[in-house]
Amino acid sequence: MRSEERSPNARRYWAVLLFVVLGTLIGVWHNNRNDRGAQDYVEGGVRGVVAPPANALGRVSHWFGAQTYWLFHGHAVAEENQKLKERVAELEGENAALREMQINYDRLRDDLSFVRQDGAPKIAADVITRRADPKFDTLLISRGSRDGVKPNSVVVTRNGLVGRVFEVTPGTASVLMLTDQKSGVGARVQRPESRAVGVCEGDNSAVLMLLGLSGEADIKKDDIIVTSGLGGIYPKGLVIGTVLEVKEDEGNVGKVVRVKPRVDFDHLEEVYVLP
Amino acid sequence: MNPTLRRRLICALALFLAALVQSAWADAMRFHGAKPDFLVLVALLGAMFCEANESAALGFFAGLLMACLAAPPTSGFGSLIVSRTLVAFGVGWLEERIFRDNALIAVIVAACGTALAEGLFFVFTPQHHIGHWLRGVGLTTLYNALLALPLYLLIRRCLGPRPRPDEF
Repeated sequence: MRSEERSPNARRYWAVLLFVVLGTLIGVWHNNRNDRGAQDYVEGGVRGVVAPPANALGRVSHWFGAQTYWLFHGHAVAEENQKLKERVAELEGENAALREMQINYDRLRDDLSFVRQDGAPKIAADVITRRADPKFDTLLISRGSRDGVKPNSVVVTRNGLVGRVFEVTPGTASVLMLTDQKSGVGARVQRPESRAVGVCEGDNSAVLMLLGLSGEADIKKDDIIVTSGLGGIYPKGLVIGTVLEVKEDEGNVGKVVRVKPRVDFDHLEEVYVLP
Repeated sequence: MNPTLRRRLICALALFLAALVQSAWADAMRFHGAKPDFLVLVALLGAMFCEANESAALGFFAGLLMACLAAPPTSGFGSLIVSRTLVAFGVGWLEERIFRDNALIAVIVAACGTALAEGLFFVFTPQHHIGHWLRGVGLTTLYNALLALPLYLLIRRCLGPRPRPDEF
């Protein structure tokens, strides 16, 4: 019998104790660094090794998927094409009206000194990892502190708000998506007659909950929800989504609203960071 | 090559590949809301071929990789590492005493191990929406159990049958 087998379990299984202590220390250290907005070198090192090949693998699979899509979806593509043509015609009309409104909006915006905020350059980033852990609605993107990304930088796409950066390494950043249960964003109904204000929260499902609305709040299905600018992280006016359903809450003192995010979180490939 | 070194290298490579697959494809592999967790799966199945201390190391690095790739926003970094370390160690330890190198055991280990790892994570870092969390864990557990058999056979092909205790 080996001497190891004769020794007490506590000595024989030293490694588990070592790894548990090490894991705890790394976790505490990580949280401390995070709280101070400092970078975690362990995380940065691991991401430095894993992120580039993961990004390359994602690109290759995306390219392959795009090349073979027609094989499996040929009929659906033709139908979708027809629908899109109709939609383009509809949007062109709408676009002309919006352009006129945009001119007025730009002038007013200048007057209100929002130029600096809106004119800030956006940093384009690839999505390396989307929901790597099924429990968390997080993204890993291909830009980090050396590109000017900071904790609490806001992340958007052309369609609307994606979330905010909560951690950065030199070459990558972690983004908390709106749908994560720890996410909360000040929100407002865009319709001029309403302008009701609440908080949009995620619960790791595909829809958001708009909470904190009073019972008298003027809100209805298909209202567009934008950021309110309250809270200090998200700038005002970024599109969050559209109201799916409005319900009175149990005590009838407020309303519970389900919001469908404008951004398609399941197919995010590129995002923009507002530094 | 020394069999121990070979086994450790293969396990390290398997973890690295699992991290790549998890990063690039796991979300796209979603089926009715169920998503796989390849890192936990490789740690659990790899632990079936390792001794307990090596299994703990496998779990530790699986947790560290997951924490670095999908770092939870406010807490849970250490919880991911510790929960995976403990569960992988448990599999390695049980394999020394009760389990035998068996495909059915692999499926059971994948299912129970995934649920236990997530349960431990919950104990260390409680989640707000328990219903959603339970549903997510249940679906991931099922997905991992389905993937366990092919992955087990692949790992077994690479590592060979589990060595006898005196061969470690």
